[in-house]
Amino acid sequence: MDPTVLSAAGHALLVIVDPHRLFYLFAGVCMGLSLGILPGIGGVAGTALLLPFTYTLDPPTAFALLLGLGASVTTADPITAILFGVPGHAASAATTLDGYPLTQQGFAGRALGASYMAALIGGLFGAALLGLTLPVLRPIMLRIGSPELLALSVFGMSMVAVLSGNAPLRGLTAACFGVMLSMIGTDPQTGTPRWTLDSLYLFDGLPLVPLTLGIFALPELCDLAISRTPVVAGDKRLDTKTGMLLGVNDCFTHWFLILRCSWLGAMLGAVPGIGASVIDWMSYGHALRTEKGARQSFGKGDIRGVIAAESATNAREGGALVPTVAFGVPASAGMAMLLGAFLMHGLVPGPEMLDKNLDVTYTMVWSIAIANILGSGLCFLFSGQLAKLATLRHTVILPCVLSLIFIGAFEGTRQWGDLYSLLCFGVLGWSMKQLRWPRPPLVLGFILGKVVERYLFISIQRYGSIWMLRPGVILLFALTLVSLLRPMVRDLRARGWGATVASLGRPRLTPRALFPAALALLFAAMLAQTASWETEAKIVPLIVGCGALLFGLLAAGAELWRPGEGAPAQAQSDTIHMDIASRIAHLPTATKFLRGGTFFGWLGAFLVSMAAIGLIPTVPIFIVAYMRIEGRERWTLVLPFATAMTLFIYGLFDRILAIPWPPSLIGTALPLLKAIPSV
Amino acid sequence: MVRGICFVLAVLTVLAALAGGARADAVADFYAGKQVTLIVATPPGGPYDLNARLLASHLARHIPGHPAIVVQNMQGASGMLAANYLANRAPQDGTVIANLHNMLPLAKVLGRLTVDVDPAALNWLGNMTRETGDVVVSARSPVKTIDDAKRDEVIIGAESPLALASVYPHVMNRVLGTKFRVVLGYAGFADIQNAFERGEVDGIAGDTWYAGAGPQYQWYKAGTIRILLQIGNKSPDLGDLPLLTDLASNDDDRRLLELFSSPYTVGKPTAVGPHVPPDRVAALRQAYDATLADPALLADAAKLGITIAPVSGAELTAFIRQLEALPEALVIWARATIAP
Repeated sequence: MDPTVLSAAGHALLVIVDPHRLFYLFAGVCMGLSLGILPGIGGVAGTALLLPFTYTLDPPTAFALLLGLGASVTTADPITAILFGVPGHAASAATTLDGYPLTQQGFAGRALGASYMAALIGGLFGAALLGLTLPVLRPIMLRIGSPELLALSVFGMSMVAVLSGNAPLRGLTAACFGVMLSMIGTDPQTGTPRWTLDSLYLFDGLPLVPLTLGIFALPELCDLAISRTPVVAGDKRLDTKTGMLLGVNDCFTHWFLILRCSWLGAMLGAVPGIGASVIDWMSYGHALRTEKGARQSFGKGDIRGVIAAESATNAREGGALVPTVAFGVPASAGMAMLLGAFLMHGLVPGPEMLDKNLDVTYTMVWSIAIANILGSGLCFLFSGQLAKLATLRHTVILPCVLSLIFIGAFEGTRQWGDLYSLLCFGVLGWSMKQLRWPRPPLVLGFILGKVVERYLFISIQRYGSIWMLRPGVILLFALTLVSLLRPMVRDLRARGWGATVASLGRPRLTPRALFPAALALLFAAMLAQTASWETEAKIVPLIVGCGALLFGLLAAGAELWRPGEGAPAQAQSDTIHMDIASRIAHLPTATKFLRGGTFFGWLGAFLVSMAAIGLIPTVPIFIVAYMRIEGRERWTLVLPFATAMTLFIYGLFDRILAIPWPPSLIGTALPLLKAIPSV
Repeated sequence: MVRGICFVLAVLTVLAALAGGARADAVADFYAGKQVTLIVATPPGGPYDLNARLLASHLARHIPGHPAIVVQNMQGASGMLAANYLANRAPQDGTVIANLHNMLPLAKVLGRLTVDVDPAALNWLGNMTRETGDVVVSARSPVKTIDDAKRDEVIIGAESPLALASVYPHVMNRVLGTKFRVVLGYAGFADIQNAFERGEVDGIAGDTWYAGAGPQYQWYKAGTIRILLQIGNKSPDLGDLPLLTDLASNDDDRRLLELFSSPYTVGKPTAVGPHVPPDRVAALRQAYDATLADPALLADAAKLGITIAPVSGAELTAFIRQLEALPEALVIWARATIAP
């Protein structure tokens, strides 16, 4: 290695271990962990809050504070994912798939321990990779043009094949639907507003946070409400003491998996547009495809699923720094704000950061590394007891988590639309879960769809059809083809050719067939709207929409003519159902729908009350009402609990984060009442 | 008796003085102890945000009553969300100020505002800085001057048809006969600059020239780019490089180019709602002017690399009204120019 690089790295280490800077780094980590542990609240809100304070600090201290926060949010993220199946943020949705079943089996401690250790190793790996390759990265990155990014995104989309589990048709329908959802908003080619329903809210497209919270978090909470039992039944013992160490041990046993997933996370993290919420699924898909026996045990509480998802999301932060520092292209929302800090300190991203300001760049690398150590260390120290939360009654957990999720969704774009989206996608997500439709393809399609369209148009406009002949593109397309064909061939071999056609039963109309039929209707209505758009605006939505319609109809048909219960289940042993096993399967359908309806009724009531009297006054009313009506909890528990929760929300979100609450009806009618926060 | 009259007169005088004083301080009384929100139409971290936060940290000292100022980012719909909030939703008592998008008046004229906002009706406090836009090409390109661009094709990267990066090439092609080709779909200026660095596009149009800072400045110093022209206002360090409006060959062309150059004169503008009481608007305008002349703000601006070159509220309002008074025929022409 070049001696100047080594000396820059060494000098940067000396700069960052200065106690003053370490203190700021530590403060950032503490804040990141506390925000990360709250479901739905990510690092972006915290970074926005800290940004104005950093301009009186010197650059290394400022970046230590900001990166300390950014790097540790994902460490605390999986806590709620593992304990309640509620992803702390979009980045830990894949963790729920194995982490939550582990908790249900009483192994919460082990899952948490493994997730922290995987996060630590992943984070360090990401930082190390960044540190080692920084000096040579720019010329390599300059060779990656829009066509290569397009091919990479298409390769990412091919993961739909493995993430659909044993339901390829439903997976494809969900993925196409995701792509269609990503097309909502003004189209970059003609400026046509696509599927915006004439609302300003959808002008820039559907925000990711309410969508992922609705799709992944609400269905688990709904199931918890329906089952009316704690996540971990009272008679089961929790492994809070021994489990953590066991989890750490698991990480050492599966060190090679961590290495592969960290590598994947750091590489993908460097690609703008591919956010953390895709990376965890891609890494999970990779583990599912390559690990021995994974097809039988993933999704049922396999520690390797947790390890794969968590190591990749933490390695991402190091990768995400690459385009930010080297080109000024932010790979994530948090990084976009980091660029603001660059601006404030007169630093220009680009070659200077790898040359004249290399030591500043290395202080960032060290910040990420140290933040990961501090973050995981703190989690190990303090969160063992957190696992016990999983044994609490649903009437205590639900009102508290739901209030936070509402605020988290509102943080998406801070408009009412966020809350409507949350509710709509909550119903969609719950239906998908109940009817065994894989949800990951929808998110994959949602994130990558827009990226694919963007790079497709740029590639064609800029290079004509020559773009397909670029070596990188050919390589990536070949990989895509392999990743698509391999499972298909194996599947056909296992079933025997043509076995599918023979197994048709008599047509029966069930809710299972109604769902895809309803989706197909929605697709048809959406397709009809494209008629008036300009050609460039509608070409991709039209193709994907027709695909969605076709797959949706096929899925409906497959349900309609599904063999009855007596027919032998075919070829299901080798492929997994891509979801957490339902905990309410034993309940009669009518009960499920009644209780599910009640759950969403509570959510609707929350919104109505929020519109009428504002969010913060709604919180105590909601908590008291829910705990009294659903659980008949003691007043001596309900009142202090509601007060504490309200004060916490008021302090954090109103006083510290200064969230601009939407005006309420009563506040508009009686302006005097505006003295009450959020009215 | 005389003493009695004198006493009554004295009391009346004191009362009158008190009442007069109270009238003069009505604005101060209103703002004392209040919280004023400064809305920023972009997400945290960008140049707009930086300008707004700089303003916020000094403005309170100059507003009578010294309210507390809180900055809130309200990004979305190319700044229309914030403009709509300011004009139609926010309280019209002067407690909400907004730093809006520089495209707002132009978008209004082009018929691209999908919200019910009339920029000319807002109460503008002023603009923090007259800016310079530019059109640059890579030093690799055979195009060295704007005249060369009439002969050779130059590929320009842009986000969307209404982005300045796409508007200028189209306007120049129509008015000057240049051969710019626009590739649409990039995610933002950083993305375009990245494509420029790797040679995917040959040029960048409509970026803001920051004298002494930013990647463009560094490329310029290193000789990897050539600047073809300046837009809006001339920058002292770009010497005699032509201004876009200088290239017009007749009066109509010049008015059209002036319209499209408007975002740089609108700059980093600040406004309050259309129905805020006039005395508060006047006080806020005075405070705004005083803030931008405050040595403490200028020192902070220098530290952040921000040039302060203010335009007063009255001047900005007149400028925006003049844009909106463009003859119908020219408006139709302008709209056709940027149609895809």
